[in-house]
Amino acid sequence: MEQKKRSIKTIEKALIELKTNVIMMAASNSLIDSLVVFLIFFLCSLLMKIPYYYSFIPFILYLFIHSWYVFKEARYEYIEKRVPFLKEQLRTVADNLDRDDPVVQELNEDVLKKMGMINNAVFLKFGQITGRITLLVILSFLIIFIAAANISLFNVPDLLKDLKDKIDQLPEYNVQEQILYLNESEENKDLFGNKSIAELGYQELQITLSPTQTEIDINKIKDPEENTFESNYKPKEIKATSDVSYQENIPEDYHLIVKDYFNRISK
Amino acid sequence: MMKIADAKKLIDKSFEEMGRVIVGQEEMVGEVMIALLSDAHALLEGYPGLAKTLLVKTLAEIMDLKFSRIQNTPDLMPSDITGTYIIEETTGGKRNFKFQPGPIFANLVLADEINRATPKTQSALLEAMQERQVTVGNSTYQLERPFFVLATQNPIEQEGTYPLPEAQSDRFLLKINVSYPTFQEELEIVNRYAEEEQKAALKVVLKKAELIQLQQLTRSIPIANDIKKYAVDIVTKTRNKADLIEYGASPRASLGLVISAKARALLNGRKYVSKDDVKNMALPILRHRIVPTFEAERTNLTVDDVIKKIL
Repeated sequence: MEQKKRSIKTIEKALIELKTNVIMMAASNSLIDSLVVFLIFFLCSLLMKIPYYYSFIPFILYLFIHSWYVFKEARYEYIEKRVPFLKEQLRTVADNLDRDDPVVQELNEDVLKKMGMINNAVFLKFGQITGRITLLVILSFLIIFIAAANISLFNVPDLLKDLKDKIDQLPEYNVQEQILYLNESEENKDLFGNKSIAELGYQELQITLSPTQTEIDINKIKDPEENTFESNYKPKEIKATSDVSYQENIPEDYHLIVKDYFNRISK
Repeated sequence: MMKIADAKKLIDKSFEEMGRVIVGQEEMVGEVMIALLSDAHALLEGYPGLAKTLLVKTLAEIMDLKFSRIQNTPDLMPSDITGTYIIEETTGGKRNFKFQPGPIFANLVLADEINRATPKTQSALLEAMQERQVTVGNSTYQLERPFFVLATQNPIEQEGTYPLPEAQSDRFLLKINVSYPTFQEELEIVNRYAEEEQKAALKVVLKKAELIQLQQLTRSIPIANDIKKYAVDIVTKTRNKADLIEYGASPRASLGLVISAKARALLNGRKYVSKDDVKNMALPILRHRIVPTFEAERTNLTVDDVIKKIL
């Protein structure tokens, strides 16, 4: 019984050790990959004159995501794929650890013997690691060279600053000035009418009203009162209508005649 | 308890000994052995003359088990199977009722052409298979272990037969389809039995106690959780394929699939169950437990084709 308990504990320890080794190797792979990502972004930041600490953001993100994915995949099924002579046995042993059975014990002993033959190298993808390390070395040399020679492709902070300045310097669009410009231009006389008519508004008007021929009561005339209007007054309804003459489909030959007509009315 | 390696040696010896009488039919022999190791019953379906009866007789000889044969006919009564009370006269002139056990009281029972017996007789046999006991009058008689029923069915000549309802055929662990031997195998049969009249003298290679130990060993073979789930998943899928299957398999099929997979692992000398064991046992476990839809049958899909689609 004691021997059985010892055997079970040994297999349990062996399984934990195996899984730990696999996770450690997977973590090392993740770290190497993340370092490559870091160096790539560091190189880009050097070439674009961006502060180097921004490179840590993709590095940390990649490290977390890659590690989470790798740890999720580090199950016995993954180990069995890399070690075919233990196919379906590791899982069986792991799921039956609490069973005290001669057959299970036999299986545990078999698996323990086979686990002794596992070489950690089977979990390493040598081609991939060699490639990554080579890339790390190349990137490191590139970074050293670029930093020493002070090479840059373009200055991103300056570019952003220029862009911001250009946006700030754009003139604000002033409606009144635009109308005044159009008004003072003689070219649009046909559209806006005779300039002298608009200038009439600046002159003082002398009007004589006949009391008998008007309905205006002079006694009721008083100075305009100051009225406080609501600042946030909003009209209930805004409606625009066009003159009836514009609703007509005026033939092209008559366009000039209609314009002339309105000019003469305004005169 | 016996070790797996020793168990494998015994099983291999049994196969070797059976091979001296039965030519080929490895699949049938293997599946019958699986049923035996699972302590369950099997239904054999095949044309006449394919060594079904010979297999069971050979098994009984090499395992030193009591063998009996029930030839099912429409006039067979339940008491013809279970046994009945007969009047016995003692030396003193007194008359007593004595129970005369029927052919069911054996270790290996061959129920030939089970679909020819009436439903009432079929029920008596099936009840004995399930309960492993027989009730006659007020007395209950336990059946001796190991107890194994191999029933046979002929896929042709269905006139005048009483097909086993699906609810009853569920009691058989496996339904084994027996096929014709290959040309070489048939030639070997002719060489062995046509040219020289020889009856191979069989040795007892597996004793009753050893067989019981093997059955216990089968159940103790460990299985991984995901493989167990795979087995249950296959069976539950039969209940969710309304386009192909009208009635799916019961939980008895899940149980049977896992146990038969363990038996197959033992047969191959393995101390663990693999996914292939489950996959290979799916067909004999499920083919008599599912009812395909009319649409599936209309498209010429057999039960085996439907099961393969699920796998």
